[in-house]
Amino acid sequence: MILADTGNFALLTAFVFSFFAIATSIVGAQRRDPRLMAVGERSVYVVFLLVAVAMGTLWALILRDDFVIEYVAGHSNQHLPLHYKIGAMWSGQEGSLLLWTFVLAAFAAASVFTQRHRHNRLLPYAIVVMMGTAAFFLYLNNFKTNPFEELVGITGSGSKVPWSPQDGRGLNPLLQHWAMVIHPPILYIGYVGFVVPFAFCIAALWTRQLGSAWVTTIRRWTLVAWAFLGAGIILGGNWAYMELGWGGYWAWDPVENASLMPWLTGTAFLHSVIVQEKRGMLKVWNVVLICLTYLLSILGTFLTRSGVVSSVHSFAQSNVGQAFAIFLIAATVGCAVLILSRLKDLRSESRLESVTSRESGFLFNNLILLAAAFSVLFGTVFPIFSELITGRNVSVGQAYFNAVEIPLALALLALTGIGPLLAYRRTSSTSIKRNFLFPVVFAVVSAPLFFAIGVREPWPLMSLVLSVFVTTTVVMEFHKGARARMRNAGEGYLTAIAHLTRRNNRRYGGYIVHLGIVLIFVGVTGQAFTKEVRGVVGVGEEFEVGPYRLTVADMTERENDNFWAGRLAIDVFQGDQPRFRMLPEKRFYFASEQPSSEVAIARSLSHDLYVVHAGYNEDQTKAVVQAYLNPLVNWVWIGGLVMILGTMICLLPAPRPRQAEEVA
Amino acid sequence: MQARIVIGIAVIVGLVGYLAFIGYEEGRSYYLTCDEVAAQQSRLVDTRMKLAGNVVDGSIRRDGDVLHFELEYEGARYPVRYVGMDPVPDTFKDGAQAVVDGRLLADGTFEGQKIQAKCASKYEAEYGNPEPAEKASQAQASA
Repeated sequence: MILADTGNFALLTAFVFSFFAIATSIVGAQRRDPRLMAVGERSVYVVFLLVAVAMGTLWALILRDDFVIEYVAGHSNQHLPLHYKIGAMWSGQEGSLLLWTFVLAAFAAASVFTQRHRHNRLLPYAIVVMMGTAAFFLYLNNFKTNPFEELVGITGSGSKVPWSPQDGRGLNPLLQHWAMVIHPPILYIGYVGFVVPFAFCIAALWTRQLGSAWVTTIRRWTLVAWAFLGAGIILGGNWAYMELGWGGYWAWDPVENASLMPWLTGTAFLHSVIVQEKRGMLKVWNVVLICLTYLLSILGTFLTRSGVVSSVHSFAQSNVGQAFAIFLIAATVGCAVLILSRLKDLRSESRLESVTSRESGFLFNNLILLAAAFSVLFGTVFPIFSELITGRNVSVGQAYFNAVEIPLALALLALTGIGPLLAYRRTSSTSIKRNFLFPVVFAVVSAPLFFAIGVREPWPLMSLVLSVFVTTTVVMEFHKGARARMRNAGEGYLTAIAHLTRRNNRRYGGYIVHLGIVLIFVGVTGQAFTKEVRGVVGVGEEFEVGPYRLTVADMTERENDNFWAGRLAIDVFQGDQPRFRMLPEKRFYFASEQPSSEVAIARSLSHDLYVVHAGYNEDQTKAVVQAYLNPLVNWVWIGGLVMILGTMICLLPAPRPRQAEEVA
Repeated sequence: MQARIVIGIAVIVGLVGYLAFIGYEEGRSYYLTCDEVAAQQSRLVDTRMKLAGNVVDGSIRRDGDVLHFELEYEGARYPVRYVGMDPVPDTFKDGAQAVVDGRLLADGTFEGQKIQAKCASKYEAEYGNPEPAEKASQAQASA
């Protein structure tokens, strides 16, 4: 078992080196000894390499079908296609916690690499925080959820021998989907990425160097983490939509909430840190927010992995819960003590002057995002605390989340439009009139139009009206900027917009992210108008959904090494016109002995027709078909892509000073 | 100036608290395993709850639009009538660990509106923790 031993050795050595990096960095920084600090930095690279070796080893074991390894036997099988074998790496607890450690080590190494020449006095302390976190996860990898455990059998005489089954149990069919291969790494890059800004924040608090240095150091890291977390959440929704077969993509499941909470606090941080950069305000907010984001990322991993929250997950017992709880409590207390002891150094450099200022817009945006994060947290952990306190497990359900989060989300959408139009310090009433006239007029005019086409419910109507409002403000901002450039530089309209965006990439990239958010709101609003019809139909029979008539043309079967599938061919007509054919499947996977529905989706920008082969009737002559009409749903995914585009524009290197002045 | 901000914060916190209370009243439901329900059955009739247990082997039966099955945990067993619109999840089958959202009727049957069965991210194959005895017999079989 050379491979497994290599993996174990690498994990154990990495665990030791994480402590070595901590020790050399602390002592080096205290004694101002550059050589010792350099040793600390290099130890971070060593940890990264060792964890990479462990990852590679586990991959090799999976690809070689080494079923004596418990994890391989439990999550893969011989006939699993190659790309799913790669994804099988992070399909269970042991593998995904190893992926966590790997992403963390990679971020730590990358931040050391980029900061090492800048005489950054924060770096050694940031290394301590990053390697401290790594040490905790390596402890889990080594001693709690070791992915290299071997299956052991006991012979008749009572001695233990390695034992290997003929074939593995296979990958859970629900995870056999392209989105599930890339979703965990992307989500983890998001979760773990926040460790870097957190580490530099703690370093700044520790050394009392609370000027702008740490804020500028972490700006890009935060944006990258934030974008990946958002992309991971949307990919997860996309996977649920395509794979789970209930027609939706978000159900306020604890695991979904776990990823949403750090995203909400991370979003708040991205905004309030701008106020610190520009006006030296909200410093306490910012350190609190980045600490919260880090803690919620750890909590999210804990909730996902420990099965502590009762939903379906309550059956699953796991041995990492206690370790996570202790680590979380220690980290929370540590952050709180550190922040409280540095309050004097975090005093604001200026004061809020007016409610109608950009600063207070950011402040209210922060408050609402925090309220959203805490109300989601409350609803998610409510069952745990109700059981601890009353002995009864009470959950709050989707009704709670919808009642709280929908109004908060709409308030946030409104602020997305209002905030950018406010000036720093205070906004004059003439500028309020000038900036808000068109957006408000457009929004007010749109309301009766939406009402006329059937949007009668208050929340969906408000959502669409506010979307018009925000879109108008963003379009006007681009238009105003472009007009100014056309006058001053004599450029054409499109050139002006391109240059404008490049020269002020953070501002206009931010507007594009806002547009993406609007598109997501539009897509989510479509959910209010979903139609759902169930048909029990044989060949030649038909039923209707919205404008469509669905006829079963054929019922066939197919089989490969991985699964058996019952397939329906459904011809879809609109009026008398044949439109397209859909092929939903009911699959049965051999290795895992699990059935799985492969939904068929006919997509368009206005709506999806979503068809599920839900099984057969009693005598197997007819198929049960569940059909959904999901209006506007694709705008959620498009909005996600627009957000990523906007973030990428924000991440562009700053324009050269001369160019920046030209615009200002 | 500061006073106005404080008022704004108070209004937001108050509103969120109010919304949370409304949502809680509307959405709360007990999460109980079959044996816990059996212990206090008379009190729980018509209460909204999530009933958790294992699907009894061979008990799943479809009758038109209604699905019948039995849920069992720690010796207590309840017949369930699933009348919800959504198709049952793929993971729902004989022996699966399931949670049914619905209410207990006076005749002791459970009317379900939603079914969840053991979830993807927590799915661990049984190789994860084989019993020692099972391991022994497996080892002998393969020897």
